[in-house]
Amino acid sequence: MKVLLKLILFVGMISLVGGKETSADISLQSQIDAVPAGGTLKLAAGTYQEPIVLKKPIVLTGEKGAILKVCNAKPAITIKGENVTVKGIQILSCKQDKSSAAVKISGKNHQLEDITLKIRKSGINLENVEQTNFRNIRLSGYGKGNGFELWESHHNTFEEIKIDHVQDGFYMEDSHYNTFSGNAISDSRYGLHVMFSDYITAKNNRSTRNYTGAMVMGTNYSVIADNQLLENNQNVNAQGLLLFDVHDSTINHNRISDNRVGMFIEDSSGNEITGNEIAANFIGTQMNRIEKNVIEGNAFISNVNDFQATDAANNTIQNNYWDAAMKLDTDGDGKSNLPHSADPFFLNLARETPPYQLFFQHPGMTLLQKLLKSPEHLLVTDQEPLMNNDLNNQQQPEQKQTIFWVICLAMIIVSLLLIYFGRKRN
Amino acid sequence: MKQKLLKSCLIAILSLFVIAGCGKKDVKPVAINEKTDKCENCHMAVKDDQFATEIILENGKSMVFDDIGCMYKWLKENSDKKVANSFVKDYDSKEWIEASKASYVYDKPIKTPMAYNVISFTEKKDAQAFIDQHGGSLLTYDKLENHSWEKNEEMVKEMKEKMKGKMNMQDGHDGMEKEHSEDKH
Repeated sequence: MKVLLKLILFVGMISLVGGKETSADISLQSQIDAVPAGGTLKLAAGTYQEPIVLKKPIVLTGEKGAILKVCNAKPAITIKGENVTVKGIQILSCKQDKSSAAVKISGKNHQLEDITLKIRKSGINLENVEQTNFRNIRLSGYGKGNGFELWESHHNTFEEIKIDHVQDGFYMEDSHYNTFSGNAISDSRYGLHVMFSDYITAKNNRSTRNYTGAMVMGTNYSVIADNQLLENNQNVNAQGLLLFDVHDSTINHNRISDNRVGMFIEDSSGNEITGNEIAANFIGTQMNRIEKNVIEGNAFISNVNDFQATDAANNTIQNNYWDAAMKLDTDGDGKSNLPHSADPFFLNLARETPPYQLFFQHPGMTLLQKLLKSPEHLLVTDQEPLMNNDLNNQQQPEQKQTIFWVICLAMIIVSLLLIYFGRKRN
Repeated sequence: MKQKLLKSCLIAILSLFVIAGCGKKDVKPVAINEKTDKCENCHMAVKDDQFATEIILENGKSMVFDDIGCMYKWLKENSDKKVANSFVKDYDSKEWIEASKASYVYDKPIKTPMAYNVISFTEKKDAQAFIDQHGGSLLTYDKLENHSWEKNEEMVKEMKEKMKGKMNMQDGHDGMEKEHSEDKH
């Protein structure tokens, strides 16, 4: 009798726990299938464990607390066809998850909004997706799998998305005309990873504490502007912005600071790199085999080494501000008459034998560099560096000045008080 | 008797030297460190996966690549370097194999890190089994020497033409980027 009672109690407990997990009586998929095209399905709060497929033009909105937790080989949500909207849902992965991505999308004109994902593998996977809008998505992972993966997907927009602890925040291959704005990626391998994709627009994004802020490879006619690529310095190969095989693109007004290498450019041509602020990096910019680029009006401030370059032919490098450069303005036009050059000596030496990097700025190395002076045509030179940093003047907030004066005043008052009360009294 | 002993001793010592000498030339692949290794050609981080390849130079320097296409591109650009040996990975076991002893499969739909679409196998029969299942063409090491690694550029060119066609057709928000690129020329 006692055993039976215990058994009943045990079964009761299990059903209670189980009951919490599945709040829907009938399957979610059948509810979805019952919604007519153009209709809306509201998902009540609760945890749903069923993978769903949306292939009709419907709207799926979740109430606060609507959670999808799918533990099998299928993605939590699969979207196909056209005009599908998904809003306000939280997607959690579980350890047994075998699906390659939490959300898989194909088709066009979809809308995904206000979604939170915690992923173990890939987050949102796009294949042949067009004209789709992603907005206000929060995606967090365990360092494996990419946040967003785009394959042959064109004309999509990604806005206000926050990603952390994944492999690459946004990975795209053969995907053109995509726009990324106002996103933040941190603690991942690469923030933005462009591969063989043209006409990419990345504006106002923030990429911090990754191996590389933005890894831009194999692109033409792209725009990378007003982004903040900061503190990408935790890896031996870390850098703020990498441009490899990038052509006819515009890179302007980005703030690239506190990285190992600020900007790394290789095998790239015809780009316009202007108005960027490259500050407090170990190496400001490193350029190899680049041609016909315009590098103008950038500010290189407080970098340990402002630039290193090899094989840079026919580039227009002028009117940048280098705080490390020797400057002399004889005609008062605000531009220095002394050109500022990067000697390829050290870079070539360290490339052959990487341990030589230990001798970075070693007095002996400087002497050797001066003794074995590279011929003039091998130097990469800014012919007319700016005397003053125009960029900095524009960006300096007034608030900082007031704080400075307040602190000064406070210190003066404190020291006066100390003197007044601390002096020896007769 | 004594002479015989001396002779055998000498032979033993000599043979030891020969073996030691041979041992030096036996180049072994160096394991990949995912945190610090980057591709010598494209600068991407190298994962310890089936696509990684490696070159050991005669001076002992090792270099890793994330895609076999990157390795061949590097070899083409650095023909003056003395290569002791090169290694690729078996697609299934992910173990190192000498590049010269491997069998290769090329197929456009195979996704590799730098889209060169070539994978490697220790056994020819495994490569054949892959082809039977997924398609593709079998390449030997010698054939690989003549393989055109231009696929990327071809693809990019193809894309550019396609895009140009598209751009002429549509205006709207693409026009902006178009202006951008035209400004520079």
